[in-house]
Order: sequence, then structure tokens, then C-alpha cells
Amino acid sequence: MRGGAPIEFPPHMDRSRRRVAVLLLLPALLVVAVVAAAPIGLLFRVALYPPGPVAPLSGGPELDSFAGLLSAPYPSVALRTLRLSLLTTVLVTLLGFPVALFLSRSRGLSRRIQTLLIVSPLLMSVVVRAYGWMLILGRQGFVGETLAALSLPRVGLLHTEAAVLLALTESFLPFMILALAASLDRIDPDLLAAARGLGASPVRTFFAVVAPLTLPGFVAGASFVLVGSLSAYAIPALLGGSAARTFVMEIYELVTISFDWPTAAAASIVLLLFASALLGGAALLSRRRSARTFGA
Amino acid sequence: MPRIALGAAAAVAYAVLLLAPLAVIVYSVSPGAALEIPPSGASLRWYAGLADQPRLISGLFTSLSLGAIATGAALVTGIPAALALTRGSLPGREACLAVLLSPLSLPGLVLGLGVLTSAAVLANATGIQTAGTLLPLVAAHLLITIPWVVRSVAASLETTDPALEDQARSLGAGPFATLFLVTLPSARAGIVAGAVSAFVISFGNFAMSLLLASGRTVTLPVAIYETVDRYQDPTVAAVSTLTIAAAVAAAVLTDRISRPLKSRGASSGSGRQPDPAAPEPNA
Repeated sequence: MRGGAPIEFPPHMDRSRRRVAVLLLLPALLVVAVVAAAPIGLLFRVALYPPGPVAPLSGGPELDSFAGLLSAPYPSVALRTLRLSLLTTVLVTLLGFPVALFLSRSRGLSRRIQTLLIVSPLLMSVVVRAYGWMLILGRQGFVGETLAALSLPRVGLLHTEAAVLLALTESFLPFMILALAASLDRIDPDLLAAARGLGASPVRTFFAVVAPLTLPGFVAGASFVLVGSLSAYAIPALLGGSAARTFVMEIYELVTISFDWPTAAAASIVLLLFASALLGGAALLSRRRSARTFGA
Repeated sequence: MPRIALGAAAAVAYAVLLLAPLAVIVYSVSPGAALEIPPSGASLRWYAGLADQPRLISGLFTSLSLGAIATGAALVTGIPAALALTRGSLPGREACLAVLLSPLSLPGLVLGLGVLTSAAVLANATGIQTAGTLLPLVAAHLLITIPWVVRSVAASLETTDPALEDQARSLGAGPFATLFLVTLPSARAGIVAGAVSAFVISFGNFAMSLLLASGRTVTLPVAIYETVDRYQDPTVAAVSTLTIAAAVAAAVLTDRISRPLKSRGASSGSGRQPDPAAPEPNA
């Protein structure tokens, strides 16, 4: 992309250039260190205090707050959260793949409008979109009132797992479309022509050429959706409520209702470790995959 | 897959994406507090009624100032970082970028809890009270605004020619003159797009703000959350519609700004440029 030949700097200039670069990078890295890394370290420490609503925190260090996560209701809540995230990822992939294909084949104005439709929701607050789904799904909402107007029995879909799943799918769909489309856009059209020229059917071309080449986009998109839906709070809280309690809702209530900071911190650490493992695994997977494909 | 089937799937997906914002907009002009099907008319009374909702109004102003401060601070820290990443020939470039982008994929509520805990520890240890001020919110929002600025500015810098800067230097311009007269103006599109996205993302953030917002520092998304949770009121829909309009305007604006950038990239033979408004999930 860069035009012109790279200019060779003498070694001492290169070194001072690098030193300036480190200085320029420092403030941003410092923010991540102070506002993310250090607080996460602090949560580790808080998790080692004895669980319970005690202030000021004292005693320990011990692992009782982690052990407490093994008793009710946490295991079943964790399983439900995991199930919702996996289902969201599957739905988002099934719906997102054809859209990404369609988008990557569109040009000009159509592509611009589609991009706008995909990107705009990402810039809206998740609370506003969850509110929209409440208005649609509630007993006195669009679905309920339409059924009543047709003199059919009112059905309220609010406060169900299905409502949570629908809203999660909607809120993560744009990410998956963009991730898949980025991969699809990088496929060399000559490859597809070659596959077809060699006699492969469109179906065979799809599974032998297109699908493997979109795998990096899929892995990036799927890990993001998986972790994002595991971490979602507004959607399960507003659309599921007590009918679909998730892990993050438990953390919130441990802090604001039970004042049990050690357990809240322990649950946060578990979630963070799980999310990091998922993201790290996905990064490793796509790196190894691309190394194998390109023989690097 | 045949194009018609793909088009149908895309139409379904786009309809799903439009449904929730449309529901909010329709409810915001409803004549009464109850939702009517079919609607008996339209009215703007809930927009006028916003003036009587101090919590929503105060939330709106909190979110506006928080967004402005967080965006300003993100520009001050993010633009140098983007310069270092694109021009610095650093060995750990990829790792640094991954670290800077990582807060986008971590659970926001947990990050908020971490900041809340840190603020409490700071208050205990030094007596510096940050509770009730914007400081914890600004700090937390920096985590999500910096990535947008860095990504957008770096994408812009990638497409500009560093040889131009070398020419400026060889013509006698000092490093600062080169930076302010050549490098930054050529990355203008990325800077503006990054600032717009960062502001809108901070303005709409909920997960991180929830535990940090209290009293006068309750942000608009948190105020909306507390209000919809308790009772039905189209005023909430009215203020939500304003935020929807802002989001769409921001999307259109970033698309406009990044347009010349893209065509320039296309003419030099490369493929699609990364869309500054499109947060490509980082693995």
C-alpha cells in the first residue's frame, strides 16, 4: 500500500525513531495497565478474602469464594449462560453467512446502504435496542396488541429465554457479518474461476474453496460473539429477568444486593479467565490455520 | 448459492436489525401512553414531555460531557499510539495493538467492577474520593474509546505515503512541522472518523457505566435502563429515538469521511480498506 522505496536509516537514527515510538505508545498502554490490568489484579486479590457481606474486607487469603461458585445457583446459571451464548453464535453464523456472501457480492450504492444498515445498530446503545425488543415482545407490546386487535389470545414473549436469544442474535449479527465479509472480500475471484474451470460444481466450490478461506473470519467472529454474549448484561436483564438469569446478572446482584464482593470478584475472575481462554484459543487456531495454508 | 436466496436471507437479517429501533421510533410518537395497534394518530407530546424528566435530561448531559471528555482524552493518547504503530517500526507491533484493542472483547461489567473496586481502594489508602465524580467513568470509557481512535487513525496512516514525510524532512521541515503540516493532515479522515465513533460508543455504553454511575453521574443509557425496567413511558422512547438518530448520523458521517480514503486505496490496486466505522472483531 505504501508507495516509494523504504528509506534506510542509519542504525542510530533507527534506534532513536524506535525510542520516540515507545514514548508515543506509552500513554495509551498506560491507560490499559492502570484502568484494566491493575483493577483485574485487584479483583484477584479481593476474590481471596472470605466470602460474605463483610466490610472492611479482612482475613484470608483463601479460595472459599471460588469454592462457593460450585454450589447453587451458580452451576446451573453458568450452564444456561453457556447454552444461550452457543445458540446465539450458531444462529448468528447461520443468518450471517448468507448476508456476508450477499454483501461481498454487492457493489456501489447497494453496498453502501447495506453497510449502513449493518453498522448503525452497532453505534446504538444496547439498552435502546433491548428496549425496542421489550416494546415488540411485551404483552402490551406490538405482538401482544396485534394479536388482540385480531381477537387472538395475547401472548407475551417477554421474560423468556427465547426473547433473550432473539435480542442477543440481533445485537451480535452485525459483528459476524462484518467478520465473514472481511474474509470473503479477501478471496481472489480467480480462485473461484479456477475451481469452476476445473469442473467443480458451485456447491463443491463453496465447500472446497469459499468455506475454508472464510474460516479465519468465522473463528474471529464466533469467538467475539461467544465471549460477547457470555458477558452481556442489559439484554438478559431486560428481556429475560428472573426467567433467564445469567452469570453476569449474578455478579451484578452479588455487588449491588448481597454486597458479597469476594464472591463477585471470584465470579468475575472465572468469567475473565474463561473469556481469555476462548479468545486466546481462537487466535491460536486462526494463526496455525493460516500458517498451514500458506506454508509460512 | 443462488443470488435470490442470498438476497432473501439478507432481507430477513436487515429486517431483524431494523425492528427494534423502529419499534422505539413508532412508540415515541404514540398519542397515548399505551401502545395502540393500529395507531390512532401521531403526536410529539412525549418529546415536549422530556423537559419534565430531570433524570433523563441530566443523563443526557452527563453522557454528552462524558463522551466529549473521553473522546478528547482518547484522541490525545490514541493518535500518538497510532503513529507509533504505523511509523515506529516496532518489533512488538502486533502484540501492542492486541493489548490496546483487548478491552473491547472483555466483559464490560467486570471491567466496571474492577474500576469501582480500585476507586474504593484508592479512597481508603489516600483519602482521594472519586465516587460521585466523572473520573471513574472517564477512565473506564477511555478503555473503549482508545481502540476506535487507534484503529481508525492507523488505517488512515497506512494508506498515506510515508515518502511524503521524508520529502518534507529533506526540504528542511523539522519533525514537528512535518507532523503537524504533513502527517496529521493526511490522516484527517481517520482522525475525524475515529473521534465520531469513539464519541458515539462512549455515549451509548451501558455495561461499563452501570456500576460506576450514581447520583449526578448517571449516564443516559443507565437512566433509560432504570426507567424502562420500572414503568411504561413513551418519553423514554422519545429520548431513545434521539440517540438512534445520532447513531445513524454518525454512521452516515463516518461512511462519508472514509469514502475518499477508500477510493484512494482502491486506485493503488489494494482491496477494500478497513471501514473505520466497522469494528472488525479482534481475535
